Amino acid sequence: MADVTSIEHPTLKVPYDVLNKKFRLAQKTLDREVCHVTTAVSELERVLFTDNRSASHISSLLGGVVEKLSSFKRKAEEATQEEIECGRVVKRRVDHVKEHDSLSPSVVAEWKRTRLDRLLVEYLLRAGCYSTATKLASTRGIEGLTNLDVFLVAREVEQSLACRDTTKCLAWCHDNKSKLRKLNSSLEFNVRMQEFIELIKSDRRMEAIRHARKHFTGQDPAHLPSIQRCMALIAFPSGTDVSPYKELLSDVRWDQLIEQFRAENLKLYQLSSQSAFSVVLQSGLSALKTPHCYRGATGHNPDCPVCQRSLNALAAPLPYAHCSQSRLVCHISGDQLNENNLPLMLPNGYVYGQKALQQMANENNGTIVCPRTRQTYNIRDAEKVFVM
Amino acid sequence: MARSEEFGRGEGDVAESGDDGGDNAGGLLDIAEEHIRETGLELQEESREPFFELNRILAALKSRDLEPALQWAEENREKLRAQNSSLEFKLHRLAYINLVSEGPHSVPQAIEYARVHFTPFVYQHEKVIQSLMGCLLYVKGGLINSPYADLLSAQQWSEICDVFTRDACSLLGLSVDSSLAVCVNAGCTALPVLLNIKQVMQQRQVHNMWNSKEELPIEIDLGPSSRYHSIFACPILRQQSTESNPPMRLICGHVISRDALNKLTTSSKLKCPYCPVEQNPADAIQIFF
Repeated sequence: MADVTSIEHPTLKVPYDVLNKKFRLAQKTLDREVCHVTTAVSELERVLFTDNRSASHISSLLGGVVEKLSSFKRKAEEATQEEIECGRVVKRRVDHVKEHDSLSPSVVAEWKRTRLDRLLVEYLLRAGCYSTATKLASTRGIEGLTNLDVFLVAREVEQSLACRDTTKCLAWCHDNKSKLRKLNSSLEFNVRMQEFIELIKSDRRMEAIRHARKHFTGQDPAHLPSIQRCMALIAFPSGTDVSPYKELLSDVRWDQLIEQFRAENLKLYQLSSQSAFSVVLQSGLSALKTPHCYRGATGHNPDCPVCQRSLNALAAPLPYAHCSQSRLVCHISGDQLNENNLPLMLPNGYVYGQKALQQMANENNGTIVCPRTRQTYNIRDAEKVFVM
Repeated sequence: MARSEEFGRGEGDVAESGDDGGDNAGGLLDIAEEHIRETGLELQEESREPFFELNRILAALKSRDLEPALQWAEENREKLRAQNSSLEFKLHRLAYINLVSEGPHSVPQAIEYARVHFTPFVYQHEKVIQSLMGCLLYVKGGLINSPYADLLSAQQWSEICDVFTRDACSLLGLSVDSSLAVCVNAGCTALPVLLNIKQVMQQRQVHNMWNSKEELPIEIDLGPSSRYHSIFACPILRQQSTESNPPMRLICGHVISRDALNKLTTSSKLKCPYCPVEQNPADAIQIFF
């Protein structure tokens, strides 16, 4: 259960948050529609109780009420449909995560394979390999289980920012206004500031001043120094060399905006800045890493993941696994060495399991060949080794 | 079966090849291609070749076509024999069973096949060949009703796919399970333990517990299937053995690390801590697990 809680948090939290958001949005929409309906109805009532009532006026008002009611109904249906969809996504993920506890080993094995795929998709999305990620998700049929949508939306915004277009970013900020406010985000302000700077760069200073009047008032007082610096920028020509105004005019700010957007997006959905895949891989490599994996050909075991060339390189800076008790395996068979399979030492100092040596002796008339040094001995020369 | 998976890391392109345990034959190769295209990584052609071939042979085996597998086994006969693998014989055995199961009219064909292909294997697999020959008696009455019914089961085919995968992988020096999958599963087991200890260390302000960054602060039990290397921990000093501190076997048979040996030696005499046998420390032999 413990590994589920530490790794599956994003799997369940994100769709739940999406559902929450949709619910609130639906609430607001419905409240607004109710408001419209009640105003229309009260207007109708008002007219009914005055003397100035004509049938056509009343019927037009009634028509208005009917229209408002039907739009209310439509919007309510849409909102509930969306909520049901979100609820379904949440349920599917919960069901999937529950499977890890299943009693059947093949189901658990399948679940682990899906987990690997999910982790890979998330890693690929974070690395920016969107088409590989979508292809992998669709091939394995796990789109509903991954947070693809979050990253694809983010990708659109990032691409638009890279093209110096701020509309999508501002739309995104507007969508997530309340959450960003809770996070004390300065993203929207930075985007507005960048727009101001762009206006200055293209020498539309009057427009810039109007823009500033519109967007810089009513900002958080903490932004005041930046605002002051921006306003001072009006006095400088676009090719100025004076810092800090030169930095304000540089294009690097767009990249910074993209970075900030990415970080805020992750924070919004409570995703950590590192992909779960890299964290899990590192802990796995560390838990499997032994000094043998780095002793060249002598210690190499083709089954050991850390002995594989590429993982070997990745695991080099990680700490070794901690072992307080000896755990021995026979080099020939790979079986454990314990009281059922006693370790025996050949005269050259190499130790193997009793079972493997006995089998070798049976097939070769009592002679055994050390697999690592190719020296031959008789089975009787093997001595017992006691490892506590 | 085989899937070439890579992820480029910013610093250096570390490409990883992993195998998948049998499903989606070839289905994931095009995802790998897509990834290469997207990240601009380069993967040498040679490292992909074996995967394509094994994929092909495995797909044929799944559709009960033994030809490519037999061809491959013949080509690699020497190496397979060096590994003590009985793959070629098992493939011939399945082909023979196929012939026999076709009915009484194919019996002479089956006998001919056996004569040609079983002869080289007589020494190692005598008993099995004997029973295969014995099943000819029951062909007329139908093998299903005979004591040899299990020869016809479909499990033989899934077994042969497994055997082939295992032998081919060890021939190529690859692991059977995807290394990536093993690592990730190990990581998912290890992560909560590490998070737990981190929390404990923070709560109790015991930061100096993890003084040696060479090793993890806590032992993580991954189960017996994850023991790929022998690890010797000296029972006296409770440290893992290293190149400079290898395990040494004393005359009485007990094993301690070299550092422990040096510590216990007083004026070139040594008393084993487990059995009070006095001995010369120079008589201890370095052992290799």
